[in-house]
Amino acid sequence: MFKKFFFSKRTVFLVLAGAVVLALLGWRVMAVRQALAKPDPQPVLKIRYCGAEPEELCVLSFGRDIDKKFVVNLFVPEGDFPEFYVTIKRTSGEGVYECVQNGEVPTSVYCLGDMVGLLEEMGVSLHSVEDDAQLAVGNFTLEALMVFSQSLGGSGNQGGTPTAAVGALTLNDEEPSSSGVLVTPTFVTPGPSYPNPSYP
Amino acid sequence: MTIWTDGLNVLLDRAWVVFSILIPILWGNILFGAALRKIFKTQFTDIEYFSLGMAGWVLPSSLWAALMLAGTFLFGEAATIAVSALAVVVFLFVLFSGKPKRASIWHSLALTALLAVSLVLQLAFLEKTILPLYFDSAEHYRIINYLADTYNLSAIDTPSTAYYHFGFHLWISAISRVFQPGIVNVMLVFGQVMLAILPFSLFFIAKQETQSNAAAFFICLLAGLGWHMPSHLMNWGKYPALFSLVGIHFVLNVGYLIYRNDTFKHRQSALYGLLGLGILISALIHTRSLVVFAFAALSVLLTIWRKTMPAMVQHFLFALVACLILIEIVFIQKSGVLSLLFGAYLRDDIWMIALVAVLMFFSIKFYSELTFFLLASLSLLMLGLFVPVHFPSLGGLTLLDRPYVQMLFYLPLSIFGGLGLAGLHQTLQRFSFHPKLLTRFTTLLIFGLVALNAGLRHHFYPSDCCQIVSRDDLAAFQWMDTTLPSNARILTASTDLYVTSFESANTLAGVDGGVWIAPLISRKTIRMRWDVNFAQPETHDEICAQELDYIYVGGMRESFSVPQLAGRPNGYLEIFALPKAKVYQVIGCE
Repeated sequence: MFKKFFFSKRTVFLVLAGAVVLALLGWRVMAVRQALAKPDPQPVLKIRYCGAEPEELCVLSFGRDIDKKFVVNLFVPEGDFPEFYVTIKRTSGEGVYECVQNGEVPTSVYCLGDMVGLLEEMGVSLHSVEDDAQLAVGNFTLEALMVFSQSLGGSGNQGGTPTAAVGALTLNDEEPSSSGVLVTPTFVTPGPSYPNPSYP
Repeated sequence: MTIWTDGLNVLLDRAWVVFSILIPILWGNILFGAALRKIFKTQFTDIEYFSLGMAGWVLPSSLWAALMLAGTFLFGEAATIAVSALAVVVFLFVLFSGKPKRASIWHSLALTALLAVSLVLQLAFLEKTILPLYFDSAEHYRIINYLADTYNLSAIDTPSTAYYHFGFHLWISAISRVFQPGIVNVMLVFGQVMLAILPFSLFFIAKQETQSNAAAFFICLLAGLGWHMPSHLMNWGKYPALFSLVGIHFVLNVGYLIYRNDTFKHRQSALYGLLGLGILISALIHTRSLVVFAFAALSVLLTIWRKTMPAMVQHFLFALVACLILIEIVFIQKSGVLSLLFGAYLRDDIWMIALVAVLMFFSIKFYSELTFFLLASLSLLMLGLFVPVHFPSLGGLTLLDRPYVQMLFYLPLSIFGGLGLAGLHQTLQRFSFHPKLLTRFTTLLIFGLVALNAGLRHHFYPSDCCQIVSRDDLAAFQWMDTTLPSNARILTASTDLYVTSFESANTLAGVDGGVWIAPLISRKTIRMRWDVNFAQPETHDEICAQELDYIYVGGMRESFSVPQLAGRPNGYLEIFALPKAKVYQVIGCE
């Protein structure tokens, strides 16, 4: 009877289901405990420019808006990363940049603040909103702002696929990543199989 | 990072979302399995019931989602809790009713392990995904969001005219409502979970036909990892099409049971009931599945008719169908739009095609009936690419389009492979030199070849072809949402959509992140062909006439031309710029 009960389909399923539920509960309990526990002082992360496949906290790109605000586009890894704001230290002073997290893709965060001039060295720092603790730091320099040449668009003819970078902010990480100086052109080199025709 | 570690990372990061999707599937599987056991008692093994349940779960699960929506519409938000509670009660009743049945714990553990491996491999795809890919996904998100709002409002508003694939959107919105993960996450994880579980539902039909576990598992392996389809559907964002495969597998299984009238003739009424329900739910998920069922039914009739013919005529009919397929291949290759159908299979799956081509000889010899059915179905599927249909709201279409047929090809090819392996086993049994050892060695070799091919050529990550959204786009969306007025009209880039053999270009499809503006931040977007010349004053006049306020430029090759926009500062003012995402304000309109 013991064998019949132990090896019944119902019991097997209950055991498996119970194991899954216990594992999920245990994981949840640990997550809550970690959240409630006093955090150990976290080491300050080093922030760099992102590579092709970002995995750690990094800067994706810099930009600007109509109000001459400087845009800092960040990748934040999944997991419990505290709400933060950015400060940028320059020779002319320090500015605070408010950050907004994307609702649907929480790993995407952008921050807005005072414009940074060309060739200015920037000390980018992330601080926790809760207690102003420094979370990450990195140094960058805006090397050049490429300006679009009028002649490319003035002819009135539809040119071929544009390859010139336009309006891009070239930047240099003071401690270069393994790939060296990274430039982010506005137009990427056409990929091998872009959708034309449809559904490639 | 390997595929395995990437998959595990995704599983850990999105465990709750995976759980949210697996629970209704397992719930549906167990309920459906219990219903089948009432009908068929001990006619099938546990693995066969499990396999049937791996497609049949869609019946109770869809009923649950439909009850959720109807209940919320009629009785308000409390209906969500009531229906979910009812689902739990029914589940417990099914679980504890009846006598406990002895089950093999090793079978259960083996199946669980296979499922887990399949899931982890498929989840690796999400490690490198930002949003669901291509332009279809944005529209699916929009409709799911609309249905999710219905739950919040407890009232159904006038449906959008662009409403379609109701079954898929209903199911995702129900999951999102009950378990509370974000819609984007549910869409992304849903696709990969479907890819992980879909192959298991093919075990049943193969086992019944060949009585060979090895052949049945081989079909599952081929269907899961042998071809670029159905995995490539996730690069296209074709979630309803993927979901419709569950319905197609289910109807195929039930149809097979009906066809085997001699074995299951006392269960015909129950089977016809299940068949009807399966067809209905499949149609709600994706209407084109009705065409597939019609073609399958026609193929069954042809197969039955062929069986009544003398042997010579049977051979002739077989050759006729084969010739028809060859002619159709020629016509398809001549069409620029349709030639992609075989291009991908020849480019990505050439070794598997070669393997299946060899195994087909055994399939034809030992399982000619099912092989003929599959060939006839293939022929009709390709014919559907050329049969025109006209809908007042949609314009000129064909019965089937190239992406849908391309998706379906994996199914007959996988079954050919399984039948061929079973036939090969029967051939090897005739050898006097250690037939069992030879059979096992050949099986291991063939399984190994497929696994090796999967390791070297299967694409577990998103393709470059179809990632049209970058992280710069996401920042731009957030900025636009906080900065632009809610009634802003934004111009986005698009290109012609070519999927039918008529090559009419009446439909425009988005080409960059602009497709996500309307679904994510609810700003109206208007599409224009990407190669519009902004340098011309007439273009500016046209844009002003359409009262467009802004222009969005993504980072794709077919995004609008930034040099042209920047070259007319009196007409277009750059108001937001990141390397791969820009927003221009239209100025200077008189």
